[in-house]
Amino acid sequence: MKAWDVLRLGISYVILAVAAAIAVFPIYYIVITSLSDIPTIASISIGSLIPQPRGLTLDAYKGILFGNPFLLWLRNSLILAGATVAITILLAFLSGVALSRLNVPGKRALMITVYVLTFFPMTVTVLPLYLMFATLHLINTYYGLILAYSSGTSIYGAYLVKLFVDSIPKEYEEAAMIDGLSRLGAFVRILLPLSKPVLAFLGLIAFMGAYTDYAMANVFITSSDLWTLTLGMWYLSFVNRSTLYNVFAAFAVLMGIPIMAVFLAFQRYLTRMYTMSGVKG
Amino acid sequence: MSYKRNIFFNYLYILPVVILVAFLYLYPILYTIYISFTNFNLYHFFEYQWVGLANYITVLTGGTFWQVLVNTAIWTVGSLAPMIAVGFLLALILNQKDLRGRSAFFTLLLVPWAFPAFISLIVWQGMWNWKYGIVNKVLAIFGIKPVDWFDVVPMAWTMLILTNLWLSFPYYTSVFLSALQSIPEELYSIAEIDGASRLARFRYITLPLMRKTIAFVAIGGFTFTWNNFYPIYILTGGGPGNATNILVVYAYQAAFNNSLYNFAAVYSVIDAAILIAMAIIMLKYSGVLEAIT
Amino acid sequence: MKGLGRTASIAIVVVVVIIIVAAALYYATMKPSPPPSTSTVVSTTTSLVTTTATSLVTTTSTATTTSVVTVTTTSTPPTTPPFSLSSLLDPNFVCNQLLGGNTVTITVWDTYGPPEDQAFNVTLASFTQAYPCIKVQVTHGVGIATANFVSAAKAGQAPNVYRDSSDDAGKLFAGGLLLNISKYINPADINAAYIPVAVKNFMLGSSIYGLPDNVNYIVMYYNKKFLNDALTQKMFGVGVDQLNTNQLLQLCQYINSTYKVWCVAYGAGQEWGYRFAAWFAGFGGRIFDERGMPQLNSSAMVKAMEFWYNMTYVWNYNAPGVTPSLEQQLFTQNMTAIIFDGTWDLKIYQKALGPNLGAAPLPTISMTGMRAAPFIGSTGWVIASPQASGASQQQIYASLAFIAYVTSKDAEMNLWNFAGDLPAQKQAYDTVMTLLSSGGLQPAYMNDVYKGILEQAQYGQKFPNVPQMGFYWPCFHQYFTLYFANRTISAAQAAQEMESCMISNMQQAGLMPSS
Repeated sequence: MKAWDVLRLGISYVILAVAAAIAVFPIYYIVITSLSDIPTIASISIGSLIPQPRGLTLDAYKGILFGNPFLLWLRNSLILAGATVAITILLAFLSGVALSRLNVPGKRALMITVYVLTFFPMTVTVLPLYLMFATLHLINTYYGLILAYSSGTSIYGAYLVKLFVDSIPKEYEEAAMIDGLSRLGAFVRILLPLSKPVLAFLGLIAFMGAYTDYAMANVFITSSDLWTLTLGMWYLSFVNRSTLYNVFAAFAVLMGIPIMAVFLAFQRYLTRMYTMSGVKG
Repeated sequence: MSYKRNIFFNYLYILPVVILVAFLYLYPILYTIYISFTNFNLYHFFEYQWVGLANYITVLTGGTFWQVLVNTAIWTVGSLAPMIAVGFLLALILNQKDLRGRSAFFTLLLVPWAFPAFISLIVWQGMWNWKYGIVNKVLAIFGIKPVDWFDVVPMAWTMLILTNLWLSFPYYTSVFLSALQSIPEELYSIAEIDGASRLARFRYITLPLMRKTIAFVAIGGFTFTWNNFYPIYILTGGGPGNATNILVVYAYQAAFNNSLYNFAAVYSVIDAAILIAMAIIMLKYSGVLEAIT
Repeated sequence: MKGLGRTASIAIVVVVVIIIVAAALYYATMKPSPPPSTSTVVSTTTSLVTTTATSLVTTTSTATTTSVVTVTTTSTPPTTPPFSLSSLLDPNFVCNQLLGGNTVTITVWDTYGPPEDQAFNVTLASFTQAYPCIKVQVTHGVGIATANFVSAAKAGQAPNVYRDSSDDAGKLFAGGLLLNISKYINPADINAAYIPVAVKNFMLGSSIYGLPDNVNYIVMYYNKKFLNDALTQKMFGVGVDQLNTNQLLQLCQYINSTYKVWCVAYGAGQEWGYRFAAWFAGFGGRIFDERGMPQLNSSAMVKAMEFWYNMTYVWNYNAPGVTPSLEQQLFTQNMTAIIFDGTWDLKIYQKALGPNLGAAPLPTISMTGMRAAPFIGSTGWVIASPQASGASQQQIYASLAFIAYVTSKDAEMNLWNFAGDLPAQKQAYDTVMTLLSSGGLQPAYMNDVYKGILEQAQYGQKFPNVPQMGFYWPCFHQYFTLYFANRTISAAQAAQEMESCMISNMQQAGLMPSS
């Protein structure tokens, strides 16, 4: 038994080490490229994986940070992503709880129908969406994009919340309601804190979606005052027919660090997403 | 009376989501369906006519559409199977209580997910290069001859699926891991006392309890991968030829390379119709439908 | 009870859906929002002001000699299209006569990249100073040939002014999205002001739909370390600019074995057909016949494809699997002797190679004795049609003044100075030519480089701008890559498929030329 355990753990460590190396490598590659004075992403030799002090330069970073309105782009991205997170969490929580707890006849058919609508590929419906937004004066505003970003995540999130709340015993809110809380009050006071893991997860997904989107921002934002990080990145990195990979990589690092920090801060919720359902009692 | 009033208020909870999604999808979808029956393109732009089923007939009787449809299936199933397998395996490994440094490993494994996907894809594109990419350089250390990842069709599929695996496995790992951790510890201890082997515990406790999670994740993954645009668009653009093209990319190209918006609409309508049918069938037969609604 | 609840719920759902559908239909049928009502007010005032302003001007200028009668005759609209180009370049005329002293706002989508943008900003600043009556709202960093322009046009909210490549703008013009400029500016003036090839690029039939701001095409850049006139003189008795493909092959053989670097880095495997068109023409092919039918299924196409396949995979002279970025990388790192690229990247190569940089026309195809002939293209400024942008007549006039200004001599000299763009405006072009022929460029080796670049202009081909050209790219790409990928299909099959792909797209688009 002991030997088996050692073997098992040994194999586990090897697999994890290899997987982790593969997972991290491209990011390492980006960091190296961002410090390089050569605008390429295909390494010319394997030796270039080890940075040579001679070839290191911060020029790409300097250019982005000081030659361009990077902070403005960052602000725009954060506003869009933040609002998307807020709307997603609010809507997903409300409808998720309703799906789980409330008597809403026909909710199943309704929600499935709504869910199925999101299967339509956005790449093509973007033209009519543009026409609609243009009529409603939502082009070049934060609102249009925020709505577009939150729709997919809220409906998906409603299901996640529903699954999660299903695993929380009803008695929790019922007890609170006997203590004089309204139903909504019970949901907010009791279920909301308990749902933190799933909402955190959802918030993360919503944030990622909005923060890293290029396609929609490119369509619905033209005014450079409203540019997001991704748009700025495209503008600086893809010039004519070629790509300035070192600029691109430096931008990727600047853009990726905050999101990775957020992600890692939320990491514990990722594993606790389902753990609450263990409290079945 | 108050019961009915309650029901009315209950609707208010789900109404916002319904309205939001309907607002953003209903008109664009109706419009897309409408123009798929017209000759609307860049050259019939402000004025266009109803042409009935003509576009659908052209598409369904042409060869390329069927090839692209088969590709879409290859892409979806081919991506999903390894993603679930790898995700599940890593989750099982990370779920071993006597493994040290679990959270550190988990953090590292999350990195592909935490990094903006389109950036990673552009990086991967460089890494797969035949002559100068790092992948072939690493393979060379093991004595493997350089592989032409972009120009040979089976290799292009391999590259696409591996890249997609890299992008997606953290999601599957974390969902599976959280599901595994939700299985009460007592179940295992009781089984252990009863003398059940490790394999038996896995077979009779873990798998049955994970079945729904796997089904839910698989169906979600299926619908997502079916319409997953960026990996193929950025890495191969559907090439060589149309050998790795999938419906959603093909529709995009019809609209934005060829300016044939009506045909792009036809492809998306067919794409969505197939996907919806498949999703409903899968939901029904997996039993997930009962769980999620 | 339960049944009631269900009925109620269904009723609510139905109501919601109906509301949404109704809203959707309402938006769908609503006309693209007209310019805010204020603009109508403005235009009414406009006509009044115009009259006053005109009479004022006329009175002052003719006060000494003319009577009131003349004033009344000139106060009938003195300013109807077509205008002369020089009048549009006169701020006084534009502001006081054409716009009648009103302030007009126009929207502009600027598609310049970072270095050209610096030049554009200088031009823009001087424009706003010279034309106080025109307010310009510029959106920077828009892509050339962006789908957004089409979407915006469909919504009736396209920008008034856009900068695009001549071939993409040709499609937009064919679709009715762009203004026919020859109706507003004397075609004779345009022909006189810009070099002929650039004007032709923006001409569909007899209509001109844009004013060119540059001329662009690819040339053969080479690294003098590996390849220079001395070498080619010794080997073949000709300069680098006079090579043919047979000599190129011998050279490649020599370069490969002597320096262990690539002879050529040309990412043929990723081609969409822009650069390949040069070789196709050199092998004797043409993309369209006089009627506008595609002619890709020809032995010229087969030979050209086979040539590059062999260069890459049989003779190993061309680096396989490279992208444009990687080509650039190999060239700037002294790892390939030759690449084919345009003037837009010249600065990068100048910086990397310095005096080792050489430029020459693409070689002659030995088999046909003809030069490989790249597209001589242009980018230029276009104006959205009123249907696409909702522009008032005054906005159209202001836009005309704007595009005349940003393609004027000074503006194109700015582009030349900041980004090295070859001017399309005649005076700017002549200035640059004089500068080059006098060897006045610094550093001095650049004179030679530009000599090679200009030599290529003699051997170019017209860049087709018929709308069906839009199908050339994807169809060529699809089947050429399939051929190039280990010859999955034969070259003859690929050529045939390309052509039928174009024809079927033309049929689908309703663009078949009538016979």
